[in-house]
Amino acid sequence: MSHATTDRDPIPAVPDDGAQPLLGFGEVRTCLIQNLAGLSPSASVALMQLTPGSPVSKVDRPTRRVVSPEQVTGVDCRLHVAREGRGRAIGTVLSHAVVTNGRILQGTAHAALASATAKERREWRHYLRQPGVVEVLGSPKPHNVMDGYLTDASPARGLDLASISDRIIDEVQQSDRLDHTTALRTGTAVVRWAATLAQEAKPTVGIAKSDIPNFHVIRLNGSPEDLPMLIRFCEEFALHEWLLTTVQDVIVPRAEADIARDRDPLDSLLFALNELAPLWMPPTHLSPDMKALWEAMESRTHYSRLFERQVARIRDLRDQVKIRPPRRF
Amino acid sequence: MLIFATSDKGGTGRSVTSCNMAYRRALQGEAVAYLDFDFGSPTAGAIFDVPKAERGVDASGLHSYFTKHTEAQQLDTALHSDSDTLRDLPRISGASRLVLLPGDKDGGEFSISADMPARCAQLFLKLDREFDLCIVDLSAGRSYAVDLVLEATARPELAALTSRWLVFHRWTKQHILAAHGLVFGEKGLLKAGERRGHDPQKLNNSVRYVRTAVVDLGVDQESVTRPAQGAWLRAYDQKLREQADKLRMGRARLAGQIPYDPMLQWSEQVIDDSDVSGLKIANQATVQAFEDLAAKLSDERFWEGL
Amino acid sequence: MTAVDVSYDEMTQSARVEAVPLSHLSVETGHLYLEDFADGDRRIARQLEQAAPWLEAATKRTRKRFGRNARISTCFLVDDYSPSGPVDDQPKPSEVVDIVTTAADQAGFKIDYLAREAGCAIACERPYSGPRDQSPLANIVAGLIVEEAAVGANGSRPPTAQTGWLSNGERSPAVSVAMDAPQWEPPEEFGKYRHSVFVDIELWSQDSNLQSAERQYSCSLLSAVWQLLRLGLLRDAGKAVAKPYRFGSGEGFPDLWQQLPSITQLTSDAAPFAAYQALSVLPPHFRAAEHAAEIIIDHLRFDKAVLKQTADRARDETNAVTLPDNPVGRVSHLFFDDVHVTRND
Repeated sequence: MSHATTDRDPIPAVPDDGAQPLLGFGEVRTCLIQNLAGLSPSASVALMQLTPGSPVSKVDRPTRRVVSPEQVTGVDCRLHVAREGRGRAIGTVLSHAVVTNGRILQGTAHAALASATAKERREWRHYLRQPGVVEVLGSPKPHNVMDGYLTDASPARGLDLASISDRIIDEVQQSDRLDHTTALRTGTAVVRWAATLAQEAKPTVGIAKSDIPNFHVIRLNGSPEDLPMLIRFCEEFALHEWLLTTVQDVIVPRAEADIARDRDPLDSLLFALNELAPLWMPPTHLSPDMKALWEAMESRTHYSRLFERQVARIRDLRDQVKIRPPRRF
Repeated sequence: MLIFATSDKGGTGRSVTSCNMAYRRALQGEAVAYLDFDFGSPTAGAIFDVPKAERGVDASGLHSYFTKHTEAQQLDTALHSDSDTLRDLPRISGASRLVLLPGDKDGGEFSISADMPARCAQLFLKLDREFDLCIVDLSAGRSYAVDLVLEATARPELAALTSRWLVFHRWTKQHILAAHGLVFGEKGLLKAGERRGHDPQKLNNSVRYVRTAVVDLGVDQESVTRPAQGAWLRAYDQKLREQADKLRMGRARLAGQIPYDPMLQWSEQVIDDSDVSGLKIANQATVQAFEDLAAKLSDERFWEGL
Repeated sequence: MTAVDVSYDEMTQSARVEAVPLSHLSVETGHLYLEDFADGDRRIARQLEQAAPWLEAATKRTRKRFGRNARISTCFLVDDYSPSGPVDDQPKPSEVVDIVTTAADQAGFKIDYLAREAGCAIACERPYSGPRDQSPLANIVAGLIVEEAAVGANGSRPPTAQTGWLSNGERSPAVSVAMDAPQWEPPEEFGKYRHSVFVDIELWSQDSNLQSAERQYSCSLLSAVWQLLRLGLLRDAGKAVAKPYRFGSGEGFPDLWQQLPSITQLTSDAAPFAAYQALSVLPPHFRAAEHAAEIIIDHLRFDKAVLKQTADRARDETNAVTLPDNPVGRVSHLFFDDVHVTRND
């Protein structure tokens, strides 16, 4: 990718901090932790200690959120560019895991794409000094790079943040700190996002529907400094989207089918009410920008209202079961 | 729950029975994943009538998952199958999903490298988060795939998962002996499992048998016409039962008995009630046998220690 | 971009990074295995004799560059990580300290710090320390390794450093025993200049039969830890690690090596242990492991705050010191030769 001038520039004298990101890419996967009971705060922290000696961050309110240290993965690959142009991406991708309320696990991989600081690949330690930055050799147009990333199929031809976020989930789920008992069978939801970054740009969000189940695509705008906030927004969106999908497409239909077949649906109904419903906590308190992003998203998706409706339905089903228990109780 | 389907020899109808068992469970409302671990010759794609996986997929099948570290592709049969039976599954009230994890075209067997058992365990764990039932179709006879899953299931992270084995064999003297060898032999399942840290007693308690292509003597079969023939068959059947009992493969360990069905001999496919009542190309007894076998998978009393 | 929440949420773990006192120069004057002491003090005397003139030269040069008050400390490393003999045959720490200080006196200098290699695997700051006050330094450093991306690496495959090996290039494709063994292809160093110097480093080994077996770290990795300690670049969750311990006058040395702190301060007026520059004067057989340690350090992602703290501290010296971005640029080696004067004894 190129700013207007880079073509004639020699290798900059102070190359390391010069790279301004033009795009932010990421992918978030959300699923349930494979453990019968919810994890205690200390167990969540221990589980998120993926890098010994690096601090785990923890927030207790409004929901308990424990975040692992960032993991670093080196990449040097062709980008999957839409329409025209070619680009080679060299640098590092960051990934971390998040545990919410000891129940939900998220794996996030993300990278900031910037124009290359040299005409060819540099020494590895150069890229290690800017973790999470991927330099792009060649001059594809940023919007083509963005569209290419968002439409890249599986297996990925370009930057494969999907595998990286998937791997961090698997690594955590395989930990010997878990009992590996599935408390509720649900899917893993995927949110892929890309942000166009420009100085002074106001944060905005657009959510696209995809044909693939459990897969959402988000396009964002913002300034490079907004990137951490945009990453957080996508994680919060992914969490809430997963909650809604789980109650709407897994718990409610299953309970209805169970009732129709005289099977006991109470366990999963109570799980939804006790464990999932309290997690609905839009992150609007975090900052005015976050609030604006969230409200923009809500005004199109009406997620909160849909969720409330599903929770009401679950209460109805629960009451129905309590009044007329299934025969094989 | 993990179900491992294996057989002593080819041609037992293991795959077609397992596919139908998977379909029956999905019909009952369980999310089912079907894993084609027959790396040498993946066939499940053909039985489920998934054109893009007929002899395995081009990329990211289970073979590549292990050898190339790609993601394992999941094909929802309702979307990818040409079979009306499978396409209609989501429209049946209370039914769930049936997803195929296909093998790779031209996969071939591979030797097990150090990281594969952990990777295998990772896959089983991941699927268990999403699916009520995972049916793992292993190839016939002793194979790397069998060693791989034995090693994976011995790992501590899979201790909480229920693993059960179904050994398929035809109802003949030779096949009974061969199936016995597959489980109890010097290189059998139990010995191999013990070497990988399984308790052979517990492992044996998780093994049940499925007899296939059994001639149903209770029904007036066209093939059994002369009385002398019928009497001989009954006597021989009795001898086979005695043999099976002696080899600890008797009734108590019998998970299912699949009748000989000409249609399935020619066309391995998933059948439903319409194939019996409407088209009348399959026998009611066959569908019933699949249904019974499917029900046995989660009948805890049947799987309790013997 | 490291901590997602920093600007918005309360953080329970502060991102504060503890500072480490720093000298201008740290000189490693020797490195011996516990077994080496079985031969008496000959070997150690010879090693320190060899190191003395280089220490003198380095001291002179450092004073010339950074001023007469430049801080210089000396240290000595004892390898107690995987002793071959039984514990009873090992020399006691107090015996080794006597031998080393006497030999240094004869060679004409003082040894300020005695360090032990097992203390690089797991840092202990006090004698008789337990798990609560230890830091798993080798684990920490292994966790900081970021494998260099091969051309074509797009994140689909897991990094191979998880297998306990790190290389500076692309390996030759594995040749299997299968009939269709691929044509051999050479390994290739990343960023090679015409020809490759390909190095593949074993970071640790593990008994594959025991799932819970502990990693046995290689001396390459432990050397990397050692050099990083000497550069003051290691932290455990922001805390400084393996701070030198000085035994009180009435306090005796423990009998077992594992009861000794990682780093013991031997002289009362020693300059700080860690330094802007680390020089190791060593026998030539350490060359390979030291090279490997440099490659490991070149593949680490350092905490930016620690690097900045060190650079700022250096810049604030009376005679400002400019540190290179690359920590390896602060390490130098002198491998002395094995040539001796012929003696008639």
